[in-house]
Amino acid sequence: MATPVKVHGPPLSTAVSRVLACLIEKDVPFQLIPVNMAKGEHKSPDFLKIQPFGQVPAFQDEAISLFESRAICRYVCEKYAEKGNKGLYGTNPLAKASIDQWVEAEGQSFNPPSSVLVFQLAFAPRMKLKQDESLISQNETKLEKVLEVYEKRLGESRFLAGDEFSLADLSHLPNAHYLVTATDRGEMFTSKKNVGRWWGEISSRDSWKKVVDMQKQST
Amino acid sequence: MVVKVYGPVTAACPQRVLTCLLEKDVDFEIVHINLDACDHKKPDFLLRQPFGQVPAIEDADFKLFESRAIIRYYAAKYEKRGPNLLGNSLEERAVVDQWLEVEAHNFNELVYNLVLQLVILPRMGKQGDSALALSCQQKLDKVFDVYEQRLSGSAYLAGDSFTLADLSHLPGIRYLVEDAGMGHLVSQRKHVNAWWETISNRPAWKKLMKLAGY
Repeated sequence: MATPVKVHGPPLSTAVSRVLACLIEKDVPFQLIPVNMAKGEHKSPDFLKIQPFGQVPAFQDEAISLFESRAICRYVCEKYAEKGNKGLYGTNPLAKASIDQWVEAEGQSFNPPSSVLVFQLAFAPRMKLKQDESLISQNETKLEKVLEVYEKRLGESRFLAGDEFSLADLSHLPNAHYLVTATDRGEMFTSKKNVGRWWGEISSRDSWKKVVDMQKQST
Repeated sequence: MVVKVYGPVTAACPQRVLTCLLEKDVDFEIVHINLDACDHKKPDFLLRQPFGQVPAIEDADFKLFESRAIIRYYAAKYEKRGPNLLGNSLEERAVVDQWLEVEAHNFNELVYNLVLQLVILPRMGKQGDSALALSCQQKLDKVFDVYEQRLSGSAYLAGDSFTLADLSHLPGIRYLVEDAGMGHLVSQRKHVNAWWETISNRPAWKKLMKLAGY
């Protein structure tokens, strides 16, 4: 019987790949349902029923229909607590709080500037769109400040939320991956001692390698 | 032992935390941080919150930052006390989390930029970017359309009860309605308006408004 777990969206989407990485870390089988964004499928009435903002991903299983990648990840971690990486979302309230803190930091401080840079530097050229140099420059400056905070943190702690890989680190994989592999700004990560070390560790996890494979196969 | 909340009582993100603590009847002490004097960028504060933002909390030995992480922590810690802000089943909790994420990613940045351009910069004697403000307003209109649709089917964002998802919106909507002259975004939508009236009349929020001197 096919798994009831469905993820709607293209694997190249950073938010979709965040969910895929989590499902693979947790050893949860899923079906990936393609959404052709170039054709506007994410704005179709059918899709808006499962994601009213017309964004990817959307997630379904036998019990729920859900959107927002970080909410989906937390749900997967709670529902499948005993599967795969059991510590991904912490095993006690204090660990969970630290993970939530750094997932929020990712969402509020890392994601905005890195998303702009990913779009401007990795996607715009492929889509033959004009790049906005001033936007690029502003967001490079913002991202650099964030990475300086990470450099200090990762000098004190192996992973962002503590000694173990968690949702907090996972949440950073999609945007950082594009910046390091598809733009010439990878040095922002790799030239920093602690951030570079951290990036090397988290990006070489089996789960992330599988996501990257899925992304390559989809092109 | 009281929870120390570092930040000004008039800033949106500390208000998110304070409202949660008030809902849950958790004793707290506000440690004022003077943003105008850039207290939040000084070395002492950066040890608490390395991004130089408010709030941060200290609860005996436990320290945390990011308002939405803090409210998740306290809503879970005091789950059985006062209103259940999280939802009962795993699925209900996921829907609460979903709408909290919507606030964080689809709502917050638009409100922040709108308020920055229309209220904060002019207060500092600087010119706001009216084109950016208009763009934010148009996007916010579309977001509120989705909320209107959602709230036509349930009294609160995540279902039948007030949860963290609704709570998280209180500070931002207050800024829109009271300071930015954007009240029509709410009042022109029947269900959003009813929802706002309900959630902003909760005793905990009214207590906070008094504390903030509004």
